[in-house]
Amino acid sequence: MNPTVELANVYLLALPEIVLTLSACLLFLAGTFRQNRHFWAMKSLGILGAAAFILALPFYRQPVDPLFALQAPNMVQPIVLDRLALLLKIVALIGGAVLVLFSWNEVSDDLAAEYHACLLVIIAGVGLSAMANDLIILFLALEMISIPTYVILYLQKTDLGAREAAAKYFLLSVFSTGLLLFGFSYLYGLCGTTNITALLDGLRSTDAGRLPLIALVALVMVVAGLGFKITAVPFHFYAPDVYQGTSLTSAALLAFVPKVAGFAALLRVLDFVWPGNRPPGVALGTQAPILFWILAAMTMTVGNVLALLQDNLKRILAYSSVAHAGYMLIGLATAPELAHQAAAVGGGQAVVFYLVSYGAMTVGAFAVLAYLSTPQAPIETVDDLAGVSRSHPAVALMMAIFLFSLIGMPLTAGFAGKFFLFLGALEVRPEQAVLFRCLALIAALNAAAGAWYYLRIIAAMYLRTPLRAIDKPATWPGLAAIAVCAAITVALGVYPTPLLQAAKAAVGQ
Amino acid sequence: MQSFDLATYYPIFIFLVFVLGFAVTAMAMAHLVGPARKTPVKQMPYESGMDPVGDARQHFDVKFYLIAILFLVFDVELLFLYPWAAMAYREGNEALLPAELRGPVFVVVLVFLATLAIGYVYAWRKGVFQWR
Amino acid sequence: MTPITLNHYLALGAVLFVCGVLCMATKRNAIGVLMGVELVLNGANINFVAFAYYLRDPQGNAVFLVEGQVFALFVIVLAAAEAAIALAIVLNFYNNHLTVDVDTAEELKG
Repeated sequence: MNPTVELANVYLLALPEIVLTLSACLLFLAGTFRQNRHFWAMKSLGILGAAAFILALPFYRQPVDPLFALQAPNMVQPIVLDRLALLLKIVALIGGAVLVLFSWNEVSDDLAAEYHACLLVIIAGVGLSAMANDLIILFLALEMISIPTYVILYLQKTDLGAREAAAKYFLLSVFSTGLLLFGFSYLYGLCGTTNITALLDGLRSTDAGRLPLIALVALVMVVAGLGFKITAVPFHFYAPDVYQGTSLTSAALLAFVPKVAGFAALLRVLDFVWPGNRPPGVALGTQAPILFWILAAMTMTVGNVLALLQDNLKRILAYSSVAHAGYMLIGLATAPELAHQAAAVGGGQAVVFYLVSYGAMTVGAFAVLAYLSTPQAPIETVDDLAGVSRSHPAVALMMAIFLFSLIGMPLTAGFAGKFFLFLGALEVRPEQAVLFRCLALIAALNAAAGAWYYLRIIAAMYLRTPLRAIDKPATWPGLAAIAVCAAITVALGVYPTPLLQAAKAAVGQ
Repeated sequence: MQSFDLATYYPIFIFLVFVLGFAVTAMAMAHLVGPARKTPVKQMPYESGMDPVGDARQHFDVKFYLIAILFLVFDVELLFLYPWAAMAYREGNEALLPAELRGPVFVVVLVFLATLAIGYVYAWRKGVFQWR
Repeated sequence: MTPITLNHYLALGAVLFVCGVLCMATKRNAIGVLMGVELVLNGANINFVAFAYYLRDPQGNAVFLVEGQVFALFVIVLAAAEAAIALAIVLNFYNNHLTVDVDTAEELKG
């Protein structure tokens, strides 16, 4: 093929991200001329809409089912628009729009343009990391998420706690970047290429027992580096401090965006996507499922147990985010076995489903807290929510939906997601059954423990008398963000099939 | 494959001993033999030139760090231009970039420079270059 | 004389990595922690460049692998971008706490 056309095709695939990034550059510049948060929030919503339009354009001209029409990644292209990439790009754009709505009135006028520009770059980074078929692109895309995140953490609030949160997140995040990069350097050395498809093909052609030790080191380093992004224990300890110190918008961003990108990268690099005839996730060594088993068990237990001890709502949600990362890791641990026996719901599929559900419910919970907070009277502890059901019945109801979903009550997205993950662990064939039944048991115990601290919040909202009046004027963007999240949470709980099918197509199993 | 042989390094060790010995001897001789007249002017760190003011360990002004940050970013971005400049227009056997791609890649480089220019104007509008 | 092989470079990269991690774990000074990060990134860079130079194709012929060197270039630029942000954060930390000792940051606990 003509190299010019080839280059143009690569750029065309990333056109939504290019539009997002270039508009963000202009937004930075234009923000020095006009300072108005409504104006810039409206503009960034428009830019996200334009990116979504560009993403949808090719499928409008070829009216085929977009979720099944795409091809597997090949060994030449640095980026691919396969089903996983498409699904995660849609999730990123919707999530970005919700975050813009959510932070509409939370940023000050003079920082609005910078804040929204950073947000757009982050969304572009998520899209790119979902599309990356090359270690270089993947690494840079992950940094495209991290660096604007530091800026947002640093810009938004100016008190001591926020500064400390920014410094803490920055130092630990660059450390994880270093770990990840070191793992990537060994991966490159194993096969002499940075193309992920070519790399995994090379690794698969090697006999699993004869992989060099360096492959195991690379596996551990990549999992550690990405484990920081998904807040897996023992890389979780920054989360509660940073969430507590920073603003609610940043905390929601941190709970949602790095998890999506981190799991996307884990799925791609560790061979969970398009595995062909081989079991997924074991290209870098048969030890991978055991590694994920241990990580999952530790992460859910530590997250839930520590959340029980908290009284600060942001810290509770931080530990709950750790715990949910643990639930998702179950899917990665069970994926090879489930693919082997052609289970109805594969491990990778359940992870993608849970990722979307978790994003909706946790961003929604943060949005409710932000909606009820004012700078003078922020909602910080469980006591601050006491009796909210009387002053704000609709918002309290939606908060209850999010919390029930986080617990895993039926008819919510959280239930469907947990059901598929736990069921997968129970379905593993006899030779490994004891091991994975133990994991399912640990998960069930954890879900029960988790119910306690979520129910405590619901009880405070509905059963207690208000300690102080919450008088915040109603703002439509905040309400819209909450409503979108609640709608997704309920829709996925009542009718999970479409997303489940899309997730199945996404991981190509 | 040759094994490591310490003997090949002996001349270097002898040289090191000689250099150190000469330096120490010269300083010791100057101190012992030379006359010492300690006048206030001779005691100053810089015998000719400006009188030193204040302590050397004073803090730098924050303004210098701002400039340093900007310099760091703009300086290192050149790293992308150098490989392009060295490789893009090679001819014959050494050509790494197909001739048809030279134009598109040039456009990409221009977009990159435009992005940097936006960054520059942003810093300017934010008043980074004003020496307050 | 022993010829320098790939393993020597890998050992150097690993040593730099370990030094960087130790530096980050033990330094109390925020700038010191950053220097540790740079060591880790450059350890990975040495691996990339060494692999790009020494790797052979399956037939044992020397091949020109440009990806490793390109990766190293991107990492250098990225390290600079991170250093710029770090300088801003550390400066602000200093203005608030009047020290760059990270142990003094203890607002957030629980």
